[in-house]
Amino acid sequence: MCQKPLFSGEQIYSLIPQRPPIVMVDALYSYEEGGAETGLTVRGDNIFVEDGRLAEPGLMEHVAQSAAAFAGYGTFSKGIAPKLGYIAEVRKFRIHCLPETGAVLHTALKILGSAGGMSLLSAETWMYASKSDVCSAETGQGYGTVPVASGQMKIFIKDE
Amino acid sequence: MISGMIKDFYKVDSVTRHDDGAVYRVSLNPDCEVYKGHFPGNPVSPGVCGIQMIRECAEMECSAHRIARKLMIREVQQCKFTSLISPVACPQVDVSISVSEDASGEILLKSSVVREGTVCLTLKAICVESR
Repeated sequence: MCQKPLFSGEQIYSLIPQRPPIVMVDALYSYEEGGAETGLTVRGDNIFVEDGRLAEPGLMEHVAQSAAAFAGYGTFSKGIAPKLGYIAEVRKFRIHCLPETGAVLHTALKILGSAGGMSLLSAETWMYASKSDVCSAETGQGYGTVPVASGQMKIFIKDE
Repeated sequence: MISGMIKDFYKVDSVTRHDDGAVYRVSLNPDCEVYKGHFPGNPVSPGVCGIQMIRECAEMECSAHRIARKLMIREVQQCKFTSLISPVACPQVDVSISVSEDASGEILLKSSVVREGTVCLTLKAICVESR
């Protein structure tokens, strides 16, 4: 995967209100009116890493902050600082596996609808595994993309 | 401070058990490092940390009922965050936990987090015993 991100590392701070130790998105690969693609490399010092793997809440927070980065890109282009946002609801969020540290996550976000500061989105997260299978035997991929999680969220972003 | 995965996020003050579940009274720690970033100058308990806290209390419940010791959330069927939790404004919350195991070995977890009579979080999730 050699896609060059639009924003990465500390540049993401222009797009999201979160700061260390709870920054859970480190790349914005693409943006359009209906959605975006984001990424996260799972580091060993990530607060949601447990027994060498990114735990379920970490996957959910990565999706929520991907939504924040999407919203933040919209306001960034207007010269506005990122606004505070909150998860209002998580729905049908399925976790297929817990990525090991070093894994590179890639998430595709689709905005299904929004009104009054509330957005409904769907997300799918994959992982680029460079070693042999880190999940259950069913996925069986040595290289390439491995499905990690998928689901829906409602995110509320305050209009200050 | 007894910690779960997120260091010093909360501690369990008391557990009350009854027929259909248990209530964990917990205290949230406003000095937890997560608040440095969520958000700077405006500490708000991250919703996902609430889910982690629920998972940990559920693990304690499962242990007590000899169902499982470690859980992995396979699916969050629904989790609603209906009110923000601030560790400064109100550090004590009640986490109610109900776990039941079905024939296939999946564990249905239902939980709610209540702060001074206000429901802040309701969760319905399917878990499996984690290796």
